[in-house]
Amino acid sequence: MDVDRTLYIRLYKKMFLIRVFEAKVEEMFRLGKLRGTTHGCIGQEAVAVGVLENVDLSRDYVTGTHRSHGHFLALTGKVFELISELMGKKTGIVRGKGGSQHLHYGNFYTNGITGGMIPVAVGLGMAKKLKGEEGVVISFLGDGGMNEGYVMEALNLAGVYKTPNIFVLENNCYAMSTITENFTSGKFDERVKGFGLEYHYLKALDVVEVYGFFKKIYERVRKERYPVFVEFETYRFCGHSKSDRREYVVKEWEDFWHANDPLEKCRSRIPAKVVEDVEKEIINFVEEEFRRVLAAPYPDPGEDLF
Amino acid sequence: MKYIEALRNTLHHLLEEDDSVYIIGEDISEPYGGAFKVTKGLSKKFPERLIQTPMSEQAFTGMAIGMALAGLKPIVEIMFGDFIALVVDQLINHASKFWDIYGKKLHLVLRTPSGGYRGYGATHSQSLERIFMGIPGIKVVAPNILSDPGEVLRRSLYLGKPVVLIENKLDYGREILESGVVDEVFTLSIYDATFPVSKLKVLNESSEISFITYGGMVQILRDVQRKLLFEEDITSEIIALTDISDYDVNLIVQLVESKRVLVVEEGWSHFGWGSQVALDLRLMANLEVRRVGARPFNIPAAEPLENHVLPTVDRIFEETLRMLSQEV
Repeated sequence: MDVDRTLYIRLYKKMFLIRVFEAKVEEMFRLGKLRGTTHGCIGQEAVAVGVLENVDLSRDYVTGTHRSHGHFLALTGKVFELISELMGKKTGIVRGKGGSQHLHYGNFYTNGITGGMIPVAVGLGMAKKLKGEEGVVISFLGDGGMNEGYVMEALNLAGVYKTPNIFVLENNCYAMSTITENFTSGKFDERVKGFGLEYHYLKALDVVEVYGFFKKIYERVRKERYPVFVEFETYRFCGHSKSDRREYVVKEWEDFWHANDPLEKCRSRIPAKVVEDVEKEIINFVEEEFRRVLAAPYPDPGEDLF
Repeated sequence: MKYIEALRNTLHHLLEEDDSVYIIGEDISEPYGGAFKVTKGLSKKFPERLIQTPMSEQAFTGMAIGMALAGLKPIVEIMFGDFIALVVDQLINHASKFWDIYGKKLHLVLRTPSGGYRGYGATHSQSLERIFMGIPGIKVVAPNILSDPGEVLRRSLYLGKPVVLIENKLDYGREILESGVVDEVFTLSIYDATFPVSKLKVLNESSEISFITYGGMVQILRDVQRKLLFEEDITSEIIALTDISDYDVNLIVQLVESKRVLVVEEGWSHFGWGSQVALDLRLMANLEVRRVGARPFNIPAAEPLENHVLPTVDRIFEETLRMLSQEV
């Protein structure tokens, strides 16, 4: 088996895990078995997986968004801990206190305020710079976040202080129900370049291409220590959140992305027998982990609030 | 020693003692040294440790939070207390959550000068610290001239929880009082809780009224205290808190000598800090509690108007006489 195929299999496993996980979460919500809300990333898996395959959490920081289940699973594969967190169980990664949007695991942080982690990420990058540590800071943000004022301020600061930050824009075309390009004056690339930052763009159709494309950028920033902005065009097949009926979608985009689903593309590169085994294993694994979480304890106000 | 010198000396010591301390803010480096000159001279000795910023309060506060997450100890200067409105989201929706939900120790202090009486007008005179009070995961502290402001700063930085530290513009130039006898007729005691609580009272006399306050109001209350004693022969005590969001009510009740308490703050009374203090005292002890604070207007620039809105010596003096004229 060639290296390329091995890579496709490895990345497919992660993409498929994320898709199955997110679908299972949607199902659990429909059945009324989850409280709160969730923001799925079905359709966008290639970005999370391709980008984070490069990353080493013992050295790098990663910051996410409200839509970060995929980032967490791509980094850790810890399904039990994530479901636990979503179900408010003590076995969750932050003992059930955070829920879907507030995740923390080692050097990985997410939060529920659009764009709010970008200034924080510049601070993590600043700390790396000041301490003379190796590693970089990879921060995801969405197209909605690109219209938040402090994201723009933070890009300026990253440029001023030359911090080792890689900003990863997952442009899924919609900020909730708002078609982002209709509410964006000018273009994102022009904004980013306006701050004097290096800008890269890729349509995230092929996870291996995302991986290789990002790897070059990542290695360069690791070595040369300066901020870079990477935009991935991607697409979300699910609603913004659990209550979204997706009445706003643009048919042409829907048709294109469904015909070019990066998960399908990746699957097509792997022998059918392998796909079958991998999928069966992952589906069973996710089902089993969900079952295990049902039996896990809830946090206790006396022990877990401080 | 002057209040500003105590702060500057402490910043100097912190930078010297602890490599992880950084100061972040607008115009903090030489030749300017901060809008109120608190950081004057520091960038000469520690050029790498003062991080001067553009006017991007939201982003550089967020940057400081990120630095604290990574184990550094940033001290942020927000040039005017009014500008903390710009950093509310980063503090409330980020710093306080990291401390609490993620269980991360954060050594982070956001210093800002608050207060009016200078004719600076509506957006450069406010006491907006109330915004952060009662927010879990954020502590609000305010030094005053009855204890060492530097010590308050030091404790804030090593607390491990985000702190909003409210300085007072007029206090910068004032002398800090030493504990013991003050001006021959008063005595100052400092109670060393997590953050100091000070009591300034008439020497060898019990107090007929207790003022509970923080920050720059201490100076105004000192004038009230002298006026009451010398003009009316009334004894009073000033109890000045430095931890103003998580104060120890038991300690305050123990310190209060009189049955009458006047809670004094520079911020707006309505829905103000004093409302909570008054309620806490009433629930804990059988005290007669009243309040004085700013009247509900945006702070005008014109002197007679500003003095009408903000608490003054005369207004507190009259309120005190009114309280003392009533049976308890």
